[in-house]
Amino acid sequence: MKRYSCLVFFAYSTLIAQQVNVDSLINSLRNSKADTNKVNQLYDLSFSYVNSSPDSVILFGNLSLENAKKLQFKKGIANASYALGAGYYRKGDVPKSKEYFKTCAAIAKEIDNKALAVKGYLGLGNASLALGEYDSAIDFFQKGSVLCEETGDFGRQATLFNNIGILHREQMRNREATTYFRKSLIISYAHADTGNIALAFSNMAMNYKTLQMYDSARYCADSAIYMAEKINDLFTKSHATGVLGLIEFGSGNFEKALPYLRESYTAFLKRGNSAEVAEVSNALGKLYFKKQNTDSALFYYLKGKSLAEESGWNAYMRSSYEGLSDCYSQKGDYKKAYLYLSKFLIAQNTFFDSLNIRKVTELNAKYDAAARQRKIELLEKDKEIQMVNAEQERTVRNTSFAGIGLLVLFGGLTYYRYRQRKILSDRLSKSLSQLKETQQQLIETERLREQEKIRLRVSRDLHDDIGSTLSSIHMLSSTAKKRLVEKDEKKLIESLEKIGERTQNTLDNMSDIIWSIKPGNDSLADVLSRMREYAGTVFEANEIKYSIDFPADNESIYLPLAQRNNLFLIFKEGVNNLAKYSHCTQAIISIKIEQNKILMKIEDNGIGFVPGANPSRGNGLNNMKKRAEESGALLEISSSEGNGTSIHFSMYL
Amino acid sequence: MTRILLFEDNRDFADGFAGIIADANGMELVGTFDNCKNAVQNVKHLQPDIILMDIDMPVKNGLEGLRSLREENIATPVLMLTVFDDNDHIFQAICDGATGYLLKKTAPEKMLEYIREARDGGAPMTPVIARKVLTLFSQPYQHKKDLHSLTAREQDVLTLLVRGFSYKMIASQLQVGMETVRSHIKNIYTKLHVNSKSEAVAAALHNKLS
Repeated sequence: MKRYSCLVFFAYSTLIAQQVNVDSLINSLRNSKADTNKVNQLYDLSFSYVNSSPDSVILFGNLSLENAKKLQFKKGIANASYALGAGYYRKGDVPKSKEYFKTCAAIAKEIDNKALAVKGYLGLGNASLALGEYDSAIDFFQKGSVLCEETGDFGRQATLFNNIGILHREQMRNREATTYFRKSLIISYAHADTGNIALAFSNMAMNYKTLQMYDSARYCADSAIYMAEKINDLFTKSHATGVLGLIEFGSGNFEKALPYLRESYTAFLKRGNSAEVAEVSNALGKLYFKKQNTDSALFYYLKGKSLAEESGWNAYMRSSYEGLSDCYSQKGDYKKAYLYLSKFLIAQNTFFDSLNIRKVTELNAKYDAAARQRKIELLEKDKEIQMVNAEQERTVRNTSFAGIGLLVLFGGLTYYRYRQRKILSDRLSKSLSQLKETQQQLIETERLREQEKIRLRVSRDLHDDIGSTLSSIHMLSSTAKKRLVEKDEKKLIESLEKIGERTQNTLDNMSDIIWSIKPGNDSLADVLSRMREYAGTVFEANEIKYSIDFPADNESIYLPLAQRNNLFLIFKEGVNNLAKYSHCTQAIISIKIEQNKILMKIEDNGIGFVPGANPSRGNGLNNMKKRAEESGALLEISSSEGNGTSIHFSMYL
Repeated sequence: MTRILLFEDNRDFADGFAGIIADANGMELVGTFDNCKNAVQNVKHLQPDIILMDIDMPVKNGLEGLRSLREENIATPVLMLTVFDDNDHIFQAICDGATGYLLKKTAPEKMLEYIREARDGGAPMTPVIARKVLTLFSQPYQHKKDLHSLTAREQDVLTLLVRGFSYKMIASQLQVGMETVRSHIKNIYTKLHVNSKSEAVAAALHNKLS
């Protein structure tokens, strides 16, 4: 199910409550001399544009930063960095915004300014989120939330709950996400924080839409739009409108959806935020594709693609690649369709890596520990309240009869508070156990699936490879018997040699199969070691001079099982092919790791390979190609008669 | 004439092996037993120059057989036979005094070569075992004085073995001769035997390497 994330919308807007009188400010700034006041005023000015014009934010933010640096006004530097981070973020330049947030957090720590540090962490968390670095994002948000509790900053706490909700949603835990958005809503309402209310509603709308609860989604989206209009937050309003469009799209009301989506599209185009436009572009593309207007769909998907790539958002890139693949497939341009499908799969892999079960378990372990702590705190507070109440009851009782009325009221209130706490802690433990259950199920399913896969593969390999080879040995031995009877010594020796060779192969293959399913052989270093060992044995037995160049630092790189096996088997086939057919005297093998890809080269100075010349050799090379394709890798063989052969292999890690 | 004694419960392997030895020059198979119940008597009676012992056998397995021999101070070289080299028992066997180990899938000519080597005091080592040895020697010990640690050269050899280098490549990499490489490995085995007497090693084995 494709989902459009609302990652971008967090409440920078709520951080400035006051309305700034811009003109008078600009005037006073022009005339004032450089001092800390000026820095602060520039910061306020900068931030006043955060909802409407990111470029102005950056402009004034830079001015504030300049002045702050001149004065060595650390707080000013931190604030200005934060504003610049916000500006670049809203503009869509996430990596740059991250740098500024980092500066803000670092300086805030230096001067021990908790409120500022929270801001910095908030920004860092959101930037990491946008870049798909979910673990860093969680880390930053948690740091921020801890500080928020200390400073009693509920506005930001609401924002953090919002963002944690977004994180849960990205990890496909919609129920948890809704819980956090609701938490954010409760706090925002309690503090009349309109901006956060709008945001929370907008996010909840998205969640309900994903859960296909369209009525609730619509209600939330409407509320979001209403709230956003109240404070003139165009950003959130456009997003909520976009969500409304997606809701209508999701419930099948395509005609209704179109105007909403187009409205938000135009609005976002004006505001110049690439990530937003990408999201809506993709939605429009999908809509037009459904309406079978492939050309318009293509237009919007292409727009979505270039914007998504510009902003670096994995989720949007995935959507656009998938959509483009569909469009081109529809138009019959299968080359392009395949190209985009591969891009989609690669992007998806990157995304799923961050959903790694191991990491999820860690995350939940942390959550468990934190929640357990909260439970204990709540229970202890219960005890305190009970003790205090008991005390007070005694005192009141001892004073007067008239006090009985008060006593009853007081007891009632205390009981009421106690009940509230109990309800909260019950709810907490319920959601904890729910979480644990889902967690367990996820892990179990994953494990079973892996086991199934391995079982299938092993039985297939055993059956195909070894079964066939053993049959051939069986046949050879009966042939050998005949040759003996015929007294054909030459052919007899031939048969027997073949038996020996095939038997050795069977032993090797079995050993490979066992190795391939043993746990603990995960790292790249293990494969390379085995590869080197194998190559050494084969080359030395055939008196081929060889050199092997493998990357030195490979302990930390892990290969998933299927890829590891494919790499090894392709390598093995390449080496065997070389030794058997190339008649070379020298072989060079090299492996390089570059930009998330593994590149392997096998070269020899032998007789070369021309298609059709040697069918057995060609067969082996074709097997390599097939296997490479199966694992989504590229294999190229370049050779000419008499000039040796070189095989190039590349695969994404 | 090298006298070989074989303890192996798999009839097919034992038959095949007998055939290989029968054709080999200077080697003689003096006996085959399918378990180690009477290993000590068998050895005392037949006086072999080298013993090949399968690790997994019924009634009394190769490890126990090996121990019983070493307890009687029988110093004959013992090569443990196994199908796969990451069998946990191999490492244990080496520390208990096995001279080395032999993979059953080894090609016949190589097998004879290894047997001759073992008779002369050397022993082959493969990457998986090499890694375990390295790990063992990098444990922090309490009784450091009692233990003989690896020399830098020996560590180099082991490291290259772990990465899959053949003896020939190790020799060329370290710029020494093959004989030197072999003698380094021999020394490593000796240190393993010596160190295995120590409690610390036994504990390390128990904790880390199973």
